[in-house]
Amino acid sequence: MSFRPLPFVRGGSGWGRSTSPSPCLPAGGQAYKGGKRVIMMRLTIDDRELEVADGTTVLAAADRLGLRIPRFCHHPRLSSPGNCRMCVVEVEGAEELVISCREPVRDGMKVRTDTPEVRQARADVLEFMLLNHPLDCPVCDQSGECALQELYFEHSQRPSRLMDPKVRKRKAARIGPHVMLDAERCVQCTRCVRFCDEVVGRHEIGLCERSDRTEISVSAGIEFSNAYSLCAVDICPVGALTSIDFRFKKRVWYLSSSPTICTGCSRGCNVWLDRSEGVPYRMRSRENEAVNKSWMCDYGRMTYKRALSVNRLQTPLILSDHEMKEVAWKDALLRLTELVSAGARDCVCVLSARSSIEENLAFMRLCRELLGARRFYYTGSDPDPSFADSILRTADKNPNFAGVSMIADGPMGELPQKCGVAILDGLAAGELMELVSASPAWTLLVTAEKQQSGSWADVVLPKATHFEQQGTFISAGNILQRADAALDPPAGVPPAWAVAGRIANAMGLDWEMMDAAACRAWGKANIQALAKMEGSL
Amino acid sequence: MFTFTPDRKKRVAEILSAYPEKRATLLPLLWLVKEQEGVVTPEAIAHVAEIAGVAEAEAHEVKSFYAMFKGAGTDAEELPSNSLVFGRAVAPSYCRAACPRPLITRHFDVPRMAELAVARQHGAYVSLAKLSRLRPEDLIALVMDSGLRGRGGAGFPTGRKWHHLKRRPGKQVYLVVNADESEPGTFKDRAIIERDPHLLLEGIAIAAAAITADKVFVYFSGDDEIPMSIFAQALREAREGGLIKFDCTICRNAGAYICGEESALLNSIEGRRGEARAKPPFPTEAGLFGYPTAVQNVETLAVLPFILREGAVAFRGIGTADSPGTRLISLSGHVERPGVYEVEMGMPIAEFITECAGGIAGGGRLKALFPGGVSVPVLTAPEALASRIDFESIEDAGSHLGTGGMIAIDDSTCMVSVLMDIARFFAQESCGECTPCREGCGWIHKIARRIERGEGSREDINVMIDAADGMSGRTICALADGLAAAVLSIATKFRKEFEEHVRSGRCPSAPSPL
Repeated sequence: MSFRPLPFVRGGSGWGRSTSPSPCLPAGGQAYKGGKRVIMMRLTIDDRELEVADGTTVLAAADRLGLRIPRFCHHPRLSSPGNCRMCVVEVEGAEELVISCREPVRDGMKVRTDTPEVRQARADVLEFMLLNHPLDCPVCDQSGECALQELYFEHSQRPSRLMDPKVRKRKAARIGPHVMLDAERCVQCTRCVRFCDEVVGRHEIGLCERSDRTEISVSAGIEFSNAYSLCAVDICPVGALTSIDFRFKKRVWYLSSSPTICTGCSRGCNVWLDRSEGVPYRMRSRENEAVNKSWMCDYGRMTYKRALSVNRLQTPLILSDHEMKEVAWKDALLRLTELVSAGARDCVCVLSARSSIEENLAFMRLCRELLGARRFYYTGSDPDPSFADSILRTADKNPNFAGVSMIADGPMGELPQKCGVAILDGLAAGELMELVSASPAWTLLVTAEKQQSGSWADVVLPKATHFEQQGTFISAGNILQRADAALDPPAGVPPAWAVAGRIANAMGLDWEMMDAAACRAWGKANIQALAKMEGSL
Repeated sequence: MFTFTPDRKKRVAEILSAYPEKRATLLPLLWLVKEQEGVVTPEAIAHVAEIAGVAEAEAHEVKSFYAMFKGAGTDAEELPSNSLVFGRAVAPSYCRAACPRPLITRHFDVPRMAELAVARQHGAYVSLAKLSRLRPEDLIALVMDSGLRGRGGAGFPTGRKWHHLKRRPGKQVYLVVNADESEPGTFKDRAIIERDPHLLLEGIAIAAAAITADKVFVYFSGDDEIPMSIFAQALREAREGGLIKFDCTICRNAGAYICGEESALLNSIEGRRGEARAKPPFPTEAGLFGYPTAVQNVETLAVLPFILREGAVAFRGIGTADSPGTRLISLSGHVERPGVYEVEMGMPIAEFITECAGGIAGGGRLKALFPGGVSVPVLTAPEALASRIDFESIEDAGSHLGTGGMIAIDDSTCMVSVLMDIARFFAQESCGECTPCREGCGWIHKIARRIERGEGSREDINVMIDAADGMSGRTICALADGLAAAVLSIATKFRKEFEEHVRSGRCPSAPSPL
């Protein structure tokens, strides 16, 4: 692995929270923005005055006042086709209502967003949209987070006046590995089309036919299979595009959302983890202008499954008769203590680019003070150039390469013969061979994953995933991000610093480092690179 | 695997060189496929997509928009004929001047007028001699002074449109000729092209000079094969004869009425689905391929030679103050002599119908009249007979002169079935882009059909009117306003007939079951 840590800078959000820069500058006619003169326009919306930069749309201006003009087809990250007609407003001097998403503000403009005619127009649009819309709410995953539902209740509540059969289209069609299409539910807003064309840069989905038989569709045997296809599910305002993975699993009103970050690669996309009764069901992208804008990739989105009990280690294991056996914590800790006290010439600590700075620091301290380690390597997933793209994905599939390489001595290197080896998370295949050929005196593995690679560690102790603890990562572009716990860990499966505590106690020693902040404090005090960091860790 | 025949491969190369962007070759290539195979297959689409540099899926989406690319069989669509007259086909071969000073139809009866030699004998291209002495600004001022208003439907002042064209240094400007005449009841542009194509070419040359167009695109209706080939031949002759110098590409629609709308037309030329574009920006600012573009109707251009030759004052001497000049009226319906008539603006409709067209056929009486296609409010007989053929008079009567496609309806006609036919047309032709039109047209058609069959309720009539109201002024383009105008005018002015259908449970003019 050849990544070199660069001096990191705190990203726009630092803490993984978004700060969208506001071009709404103080009154004054003209202002300067990044060296270029910006012309300011003063306008009135619903009798409220504001100043915005020339080129701002009426919709964006109204959003800044917190007047949430209803809309379907507009998305701040995509072009504005103006096809839903929902965002109409009254502009003084204009004969007809105008769509605010494409209307540039003019100096002295007077806009009204809540007149009887505007209200009528919105209710009309909703009536047209619902005309051929199937009564699928009871079986539609979008229920509870559906723009059509929400805007209907807020702006219409008209009963249906259709006395004729509805137009029928394709339903429950798998159009890609992750996405299910119900063309009847589609309101032809074209957000998915524009997302695929403009953000992903490929054309995989579009409108076929015309008039009320217009249908969103994939064609020519080409699937909706780009690496970001589930973002279209995120932005689809209705249940036309839904996630196959999430299909029928949980009603969204039972879900609680917690902010965290994705650890699928070094990008560190900001996400929402949605859970119910302690079980994670899905991840959605979370807005962060500096890191991932509004997007994340499908692979990353599925990494929530790492927290599912079926995919993780829940109980300690020890190597016995060439087999890994499940044992109670006290037995595993006893075995470890035995092995360590038998003495080894040396101890090597292998830190992990897949875990947070805090867990790495806790493990480092454990190895140094309790296990006698003097060498501190780091390892992680091998880079995968085929995974990288020009959008978000990086070849480095580790979430914290930059972080761990700051505190370790160097990448995994030579292992002295017959030493003790303590590993956080795991080893790559080549490294495993290196380990075996070094005939270690003992091997300790602390990990969250179920072990696939056979029996090689003397003692394996389970730890929590990054979802279940506060953790700091240094993401691509040297952006420091911190996420709080988004889930509770299963009983008996704590973060690495608590595992270290249990080991210490089993050895009859004290251990006060029992939360993320304490790990950071230790790191600041004991690791030169962290002590020299600008700002606080 | 699809391949073009060797001679068609040559035409592929010609097509590629005719457009500044590869993508725009998509529709002409699909036509070439249809010519070769009779039908457009998925393999052909894949092949054509690659030539045009378009994603295969996108080529499918574009192809599926156009009715004439559908295969024979279940998904073939009956193209609504643009001489739709509620059961009576009209031969557009009857064309005459009905005014003392015809500007356009002067030589319509001259045999072989489409041949260059014959046209020149009758003064074709004479006005172009003046172009060398006039700057573009002078031409624009001339046309502004003439008061010429567009004859494609909107009636926008032509000179003002050219004046607004935002030419940017070093960037192209395009002239697009809208020869996609598909408003029901309208067939006058076709008459111009078939009977005096050199007049049109002369007008195009004048417009191209006025706006300093780098290139001209002429966009034909998909089923207008004959006018297209006549025009192509005349174009060839005129170029070879050195009479015109502008670079011209002929484009062909493939069965989408909406592509007669200027912004949808531009999308269609660009090789896209024929969806209308949200405005602003207007084509004069950002049009074809994003460049400033003037889209002009055939008749509008055909008037320019007279204006250039005789001057603005002479033009203003004909017609009325707000509507100078003449109009080609496509008269169809229940009249003795349907056809294309050139009338002086201001001619009373009553006089036109009785004197020129021989009155209502078969001894019937006029009941209703569409003054300019079916996208305008219908006039009752008293309203129509009190109006004159010009923009302002028909505005005063509550309608629009539009395309001048005048449809005379006699008292044997059921107005509910008229509305049903019109609604069916719009329901098929809506591009589907924006919500009110996409859903509203289909809805209105379903209701109208049910009322016509006698299965409607009084509530249905009100709902239909409400739906039309909900579409008016709320859409990206005026197609929805067209249907709304028909619905609102017919359902209010002839409401009794709708209520009679509801009350009796059948169409009163259908034969009684007893």
